[in-house]
Amino acid sequence: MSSIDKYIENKDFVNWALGDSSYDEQWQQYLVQHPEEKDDVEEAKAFIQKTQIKEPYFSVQREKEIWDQISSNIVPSKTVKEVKLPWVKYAAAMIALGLMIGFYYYNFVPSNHVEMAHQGFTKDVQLPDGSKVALNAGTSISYNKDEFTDERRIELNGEAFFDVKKGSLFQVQSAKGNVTVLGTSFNIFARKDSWVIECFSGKVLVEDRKGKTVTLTKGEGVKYAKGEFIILDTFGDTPSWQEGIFTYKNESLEQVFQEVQRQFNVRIIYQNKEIQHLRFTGTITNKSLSTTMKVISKTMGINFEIKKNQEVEVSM
Amino acid sequence: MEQKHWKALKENDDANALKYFYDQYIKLLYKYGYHFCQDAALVEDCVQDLYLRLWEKRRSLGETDNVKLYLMVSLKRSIFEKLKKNNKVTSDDQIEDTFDVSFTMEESIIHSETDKINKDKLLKTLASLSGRQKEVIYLRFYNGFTPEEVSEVMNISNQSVRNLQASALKKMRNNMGDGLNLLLIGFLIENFQ
Repeated sequence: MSSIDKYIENKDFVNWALGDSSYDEQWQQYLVQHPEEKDDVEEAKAFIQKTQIKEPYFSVQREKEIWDQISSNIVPSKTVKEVKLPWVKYAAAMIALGLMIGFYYYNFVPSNHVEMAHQGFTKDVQLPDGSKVALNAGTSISYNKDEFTDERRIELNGEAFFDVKKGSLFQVQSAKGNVTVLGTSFNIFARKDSWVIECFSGKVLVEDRKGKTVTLTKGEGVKYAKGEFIILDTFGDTPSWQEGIFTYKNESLEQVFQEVQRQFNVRIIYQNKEIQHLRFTGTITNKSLSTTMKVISKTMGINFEIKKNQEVEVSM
Repeated sequence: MEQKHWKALKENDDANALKYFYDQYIKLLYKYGYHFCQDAALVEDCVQDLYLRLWEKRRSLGETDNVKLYLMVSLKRSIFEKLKKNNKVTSDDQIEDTFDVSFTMEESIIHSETDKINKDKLLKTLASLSGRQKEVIYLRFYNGFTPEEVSEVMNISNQSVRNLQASALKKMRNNMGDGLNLLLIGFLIENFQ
C-alpha cells in the first residue's frame, strides 16, 4: 500500500486519475520511462477512482418520465389556429379513422414530435405519412418521427379525429389500452376513467393493457369499465364533436363541465361540490358559452354566473 | 454550443434547446438537489418546475455564461422555498447547511487491518463535516468545479470557499493523525491547498 502513497499524494496524478486528460502526456511518458511502476500506478489510480460518494439512484425511466411531464406542459409550436375541418372524400385506398382518446399516463420516447392544441382552439395536423389529425381543444399528440414510416404509433392526450392513409400498422396508444386499425375506420372516445370506442365503418382491434381484445365492425361500439368491454351502438358517420356537438346520456356533470372548460377555455368554479355528481342527459354545442351554460343549468336546476378571468361559477 | 442553445431557447422558442439543457444537466441537478433534501418526490417536483419555469420565462431570460450554475442556483432556491413552505425548516441558513453526502470506499482497496481502521476513521471524519464543508468537497472534488464556480453556486465569496476547504482539511488532519497519509486524505489535502 505504501508504494502508492507517492502517487495519491501527488496532485497532478490525482487530477489525471480523475480524468483530466491534460495530464495524459505527462503520465504516459512517465510510464514509458518507469515501466516497473505500472502496477503501482494502476493501483493508485484505482484507489483514487474508487473512493466515492454515494449518489442517489436516478433511473433512466424516471428521467424520461419527468421530461414527458415537462414536454406535455410546454407548447413547442406557435401555430395554433382555429380549424374548420375540410374533410374531403379521399380515394378508396384511404381510411377514415376517428379517434377520441383520453390519454393521461403516456410515455413519450426520445426524439418524439409533439403537436398541441390549446384550450379553446382546435388544430389541424398532417402526419408524415399523409394522414390527417384534427386535435380537439386541449389535446396533444406525439409520435416518433424516425420510426413513424415503419410503425405508425401515436400517443394521444385529449381528443382527436384521425383520417388515416392506408399502409402499415396504425396504432393509437392510451393509458387504458391501444386501438389498432385493421384496414378500415372507427371512432374512439376515452376520457380519464372511461374509454369508449365507436366504430363508424370497417374494422378495428381494441386491446386493453391486460391483453383483452375486442374487434369492432361498423355500427358497433364498446365502453370499457372495470376491466370489461360493454357493447354499445353507434350512430352517424363521424364523431359529433367535429361539428361542435356534444351529446351526453346520464353523464356526470363533472365530465360535462370538463368538456365546457376545454371548449371555451374557461374554469368552472363549484360553489357546491355535489354539483359534480349530478347526471346530465342532453346535447350542448361549442358555439356560445352562455347558451351552453343556460342549457345545462335549466336541465339540472342549478345557477351559474360567467365572471371575468375566464371563470364560470356554478351553484345550487 | 451551450450559448447557441441558450439563444435558441430565448429567441426562437426552441423546445429542442430546452431538451438539450435537460439532457445535459438533469442528472447533476437531481443529485445535487437530493443532497439537500432526501425526498426524491420533492426534488423531482422542483426539477420539473425548474424546466417549466425556464420555458415560461424564456423570453425574459438574461445572458448567462454558465447555464449549469444558473440551473443549480435556481434549483437550490426552489427546494429551499418548498422546504420552508412545508415548515420543515425556518431559515435559509439552516437549509444551506443541510447538504449531506455519504462517502464510501470499495472493499477491494482494503489490504490490511490498518487500512480498514484508517478507512473507517476517514469515513467517520468525512461524515462529521458540516453541510457547507461537504458541499465544497462535493462540488470541487467530485464534480470538478473550479473555486469560482463553487463560490457562485454557493453564493459565497472565493475567500469563504477557501476557508471552508481549509477548515474541512484541518478537521480531517486532526482526526486522522498519523493515518492521514494513507488514505484519500493525502490527495484531498494536496488538491485543496
